Amino acid sequence: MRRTFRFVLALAVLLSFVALSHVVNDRNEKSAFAQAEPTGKLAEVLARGYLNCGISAEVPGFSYLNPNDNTYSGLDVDFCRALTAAIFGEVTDTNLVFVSLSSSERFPALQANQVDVLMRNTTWTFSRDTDLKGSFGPTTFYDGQGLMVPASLGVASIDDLNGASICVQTGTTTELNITEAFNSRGFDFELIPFDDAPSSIIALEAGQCDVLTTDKSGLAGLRSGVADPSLYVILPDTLSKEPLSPMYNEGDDQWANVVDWTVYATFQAEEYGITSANIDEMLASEDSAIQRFLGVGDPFNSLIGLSNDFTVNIIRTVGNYGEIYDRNIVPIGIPREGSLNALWTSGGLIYSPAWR
Amino acid sequence: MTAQSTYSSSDDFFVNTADLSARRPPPRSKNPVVLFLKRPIVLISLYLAYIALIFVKWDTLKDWLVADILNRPASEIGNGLEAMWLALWVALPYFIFSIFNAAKIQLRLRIPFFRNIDFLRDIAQVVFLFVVVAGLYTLALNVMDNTQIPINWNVVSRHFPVEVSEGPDFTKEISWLKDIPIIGNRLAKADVLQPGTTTRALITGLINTLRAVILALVFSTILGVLIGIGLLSNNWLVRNVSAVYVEIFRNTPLLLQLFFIYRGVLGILPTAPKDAYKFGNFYLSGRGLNFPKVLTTDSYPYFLMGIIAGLIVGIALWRWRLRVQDETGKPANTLIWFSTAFFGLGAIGLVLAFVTGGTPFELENPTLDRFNFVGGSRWSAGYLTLVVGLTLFTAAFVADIVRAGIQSVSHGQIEAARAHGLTSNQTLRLVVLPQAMRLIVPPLTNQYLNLSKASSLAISIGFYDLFNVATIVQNQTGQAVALFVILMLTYLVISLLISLLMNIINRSLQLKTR
Ligand SMILES: N[C@@H](CCC(=O)N[C@@H](CS)C(=O)NCC(=O)O)C(=O)O
Repeated sequence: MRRTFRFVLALAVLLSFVALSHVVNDRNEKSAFAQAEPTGKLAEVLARGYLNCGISAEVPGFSYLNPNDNTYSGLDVDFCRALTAAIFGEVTDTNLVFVSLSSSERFPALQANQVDVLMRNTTWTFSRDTDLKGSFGPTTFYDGQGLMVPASLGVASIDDLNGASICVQTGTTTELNITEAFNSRGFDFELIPFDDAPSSIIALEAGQCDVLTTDKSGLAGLRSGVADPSLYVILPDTLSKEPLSPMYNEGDDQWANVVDWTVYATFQAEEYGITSANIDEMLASEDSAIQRFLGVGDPFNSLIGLSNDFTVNIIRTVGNYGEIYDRNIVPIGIPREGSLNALWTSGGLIYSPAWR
Repeated sequence: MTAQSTYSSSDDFFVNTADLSARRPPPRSKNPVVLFLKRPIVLISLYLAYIALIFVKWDTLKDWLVADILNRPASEIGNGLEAMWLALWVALPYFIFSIFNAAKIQLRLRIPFFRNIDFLRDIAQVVFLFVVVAGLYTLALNVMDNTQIPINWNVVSRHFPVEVSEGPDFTKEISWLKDIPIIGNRLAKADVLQPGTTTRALITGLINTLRAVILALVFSTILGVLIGIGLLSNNWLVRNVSAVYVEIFRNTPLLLQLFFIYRGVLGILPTAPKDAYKFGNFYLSGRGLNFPKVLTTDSYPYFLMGIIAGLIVGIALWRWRLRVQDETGKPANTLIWFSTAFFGLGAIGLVLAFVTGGTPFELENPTLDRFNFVGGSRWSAGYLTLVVGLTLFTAAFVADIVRAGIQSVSHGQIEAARAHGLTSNQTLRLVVLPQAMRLIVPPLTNQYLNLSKASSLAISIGFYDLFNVATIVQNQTGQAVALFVILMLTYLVISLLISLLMNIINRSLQLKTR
């Protein structure tokens, strides 16, 4: 009896504490917090002094940590740099932090605000946009899922693969697509899930699976990393649409604008023929459209909440989209011409809304 | 004050209020209204009325009992938080009443609160509980306010979109579900148990986890006991090989060992199934072990009945022999009696099966297809690695526990046993092991718990255990919180079951004092 009583007493005091602290806390927040502190991701990043950019660091061409000199390179990495330059004016040793995330870590990391943006070959999908409460920026690379097999197997297409063992990465769209593609053909198959890209390519090399499947760009990057790339072929089949896009949390329009227009700036610069090499000449251009784009004259660009010359800072740091592509994607063997990733003026899908 | 208090100086300072209040009964009020209100039946009815009011009117009350206090719109308050607040409001009068009572006792006693040992204990408990609950509460609020992690428990009834290539097929109907008495029909209709749902995939993952854990538990115990005895062997080679084994496996990370087995050891085997090592109809390759599947036929029930009858009769004989031994002192020879009954009746069942309908079992052999074997049974590379890895790792710890247990039995006991004329085998079996087991079982339980939880490392070697399947769901739906709660609860239940089993064993081994 005494024990029960004592327990109840303890609980009572405790719970009233909890209730009380809550009330007090909330009242305080209302009066002091809300107005004084600016909200929003952009303010948060500026106050923090650096950007947390979520990348993979395992996929050559997109984001790769070079083990020899500890430098990051790739298309995704360059967009992290572009965003940093847009926010802070330049990229220094301290204002950009790369957070390396596996496919399965990336969304929890974003949701928990451990990264401000994901530039991590992430496919723009309906469920990620809705269910995962994410939002996507403009697609930076139009991709599709492919299949890589040892050349020695003599496989010509997916239709030869009934009964095969397939290595895949968990937490990706690719494990969904492959399940669907094989089930719809009525094929038997064994799916072996791995947590990261290196494990899956090692498993393919070791013969633990017959097929490795992921985005074609990823396959090309992984293939370029093995000792003898000629031992593996990427099949012509494309299983899906994989528009790889920057991803951030939904509900912050200003931050969405900043990320989106940073990407568009690289598209628009290419369309205007502005490169990191000729940017100084272009600043003297008489063309009023180019002047507006580069923030010469009216403080038009600062509407977004960044400095008026943020486009100039982006171009100085990473160049235009074409330069980014040539620097990172061409070396892993994916030509741009005639692909979806060409500028719209050359028949591709790379297109910026009007800059006015 | 009680008699013992003279022994300790602290008891002179601290007063045990329970004794005091017993000696000095509270003064009784004369006021009839107070007397009426103080009758338990009245108090309880008032309280019940209050609870009824809260429950019936909750939908309107919650606006100002919860939403206003939290200062956020009712629509934004999750079910969990709302339930907590409901509980708080229901309990509040009771708490106030208790605090009031406690304060009254404290006042009446006229001793300073810092000398009141019960009061101090209460305070300590309150502080501790406060820290724990406030911590949990802060965490929960943090998840809701500072992150954008969505929480939706209904993910478990969604369609699971990824192939699970191991364990029972989760896209098939569970045929025996509706045969369960009473609840069977309800279960068969339950949303979450329909073919292809996330719950079904999770169950498949759970079965895979259990398949690996149970096998590894058995093997690691057998291997561990052998090596543990080896550690105490008189043979130099056996002793040192055992010691080296223990040191190696105990001092390297399990994850490393799993990688070593998966990539290194299995890497030595031929990887292409067509080059697999062949032992009869068993095929071993880097992708796993393929072996004949045992199928039961129509005559199988006869055999099963024989086995069950054998088991029942065998156990009955076993117990009878023990009683005979107790009463007459004749050797029990339980094993001989048991196995005679078991195998005898089993054989009769087998003969019966053959006579009535031919062989009770059929084998389905694996055959080579273009990429893999088809038909038969299969233990994948991931499964083999996990079982072998967990076994080798845990056996090292078990060995050391067994060694310590055996060494803890004093040598005098062994000498006394030998002086009574017991053989060395009997000494081990009847004197040393029963005592050693008492020391072995508790730490062994810890190892078993470690093993069951370490099985979640399977995700690194591509094996579809529970954790792996849950990770897939979590990734595809973003429901990290829901899935992690499910995972934690499931592993908790597994651990509790293991603990329960080991506690039962432990209790049966304790000294029986009469
Ligand atoms: N685009 C797909 C797949 C993305 C993906 O994870 N790709 C792999 C291979 S290209 C990768 O980045 N792996 C690197 C890692 O695991 O760190 C998705 O968004 O789900």
